[in-house]
Amino acid sequence: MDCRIIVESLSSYLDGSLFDHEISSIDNHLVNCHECSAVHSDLAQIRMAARSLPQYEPPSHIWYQIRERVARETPSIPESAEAGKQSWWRRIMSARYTVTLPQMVGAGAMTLLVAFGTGIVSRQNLRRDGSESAPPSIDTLGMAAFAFEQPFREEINRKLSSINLQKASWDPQIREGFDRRLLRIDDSLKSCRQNVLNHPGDSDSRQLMISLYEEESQFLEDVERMK
Amino acid sequence: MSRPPQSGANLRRGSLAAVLAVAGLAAVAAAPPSAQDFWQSFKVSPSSTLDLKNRDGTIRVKGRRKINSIVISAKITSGDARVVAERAPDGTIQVDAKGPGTVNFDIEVPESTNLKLLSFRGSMHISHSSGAIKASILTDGSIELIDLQSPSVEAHSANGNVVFKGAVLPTGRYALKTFSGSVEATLPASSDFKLVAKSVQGGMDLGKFPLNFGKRTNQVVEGICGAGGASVSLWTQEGVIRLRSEP
Repeated sequence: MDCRIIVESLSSYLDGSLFDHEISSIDNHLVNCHECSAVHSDLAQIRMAARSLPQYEPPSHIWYQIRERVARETPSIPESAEAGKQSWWRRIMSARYTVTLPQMVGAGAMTLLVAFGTGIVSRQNLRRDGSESAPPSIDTLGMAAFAFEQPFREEINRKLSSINLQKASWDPQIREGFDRRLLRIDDSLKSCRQNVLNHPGDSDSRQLMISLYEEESQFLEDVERMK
Repeated sequence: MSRPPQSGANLRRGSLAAVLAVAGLAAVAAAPPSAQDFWQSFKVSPSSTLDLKNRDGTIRVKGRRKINSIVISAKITSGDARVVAERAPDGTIQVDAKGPGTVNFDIEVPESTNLKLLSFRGSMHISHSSGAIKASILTDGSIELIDLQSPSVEAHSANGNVVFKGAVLPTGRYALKTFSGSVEATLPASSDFKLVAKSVQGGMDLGKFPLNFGKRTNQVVEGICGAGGASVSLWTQEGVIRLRSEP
């Protein structure tokens, strides 16, 4: 499948609104195509970040004002024969827009969010505890990953963010053991990921990666219980 | 430089101190073994749960027939750890070793007690149990599960062997995992189970079970023995998987 078609379909793919056969061809493509896989990862991150934003219900008078404004402005649009022939781009560009302050703030926040999300994904050396100088033992989530890794990584990231808040108060021996364990899992994940890259048809390496993610997830769950 | 001569009084004081020191040592040696650092017992129903968390040290749990109490003995061998044991509102007996230090537990439970054991480091030995078991060691330590009749076992160590010897019940679930150790399961030869075994670097020895393989590669094996039924899952990243049958 063409990368352009894949990228265009990713949003529907993430929405879960595609047919099974479309999902499986995108799955297959994402396993083999690093670029599309990275775009998918970016999109998933942005969606996740957007979901966590608080939702505001606009006041009811806003809708009334919009309806009023539309009713007022509709007759003023010239219905010339040329208008129908204008390109969609020209129509958009020639239309008049009014943007309220909350809309501007929202748009600005969204732009920042996209930039932030893209930045997160592209930073190869992102540390899990948010510290650039942290040892590499706690580096996994910054690595490029396959589509099937995404849900595991999200779950692990969520657990780690709560554990990292507590870590400073642990005794050094336990902290060292924790980091060592994560490092070993990460190393194994890297090695399995390389195997998947080298042999895309090898389902074993994929299964073993999933086992490693389950291992890491269980470990973090146990650490949370230990608190 | 020559030492000044000792006076008679000094000599007498020295002798007295030596005698007292010897007497003190003798008294310590002759004293009975010190009492356990922690001891507590809880009356429980047959299907109760023991939930234990330890940071460092050995945990031994032995199931016994015809008892209706959980008896907890613990010895604090180093550090400032203290043991807290209490009954939760749902009846679970919760035991927690708090603070840094090594605590060795020796616990007796009714054999049907469910066990949830979690330790940062140290080995676990569980025997003669027929309750559900969940045992996890977060870093270093091995887990031994001997003479079990449990419907569900999850044993997991990061760096240590996991050894299981016992029956698998028809609808039971058994997951034995270790990152850097070996997994060894010894089951009755007549067992029926579905097997999923994954060993990334260490290899597998699946013994003489008549497995009907669905998948068999160097690293992943899926198969059914007999009528299936129980689910047996064995995983190690760096160690060997051994499956043994016993008559």
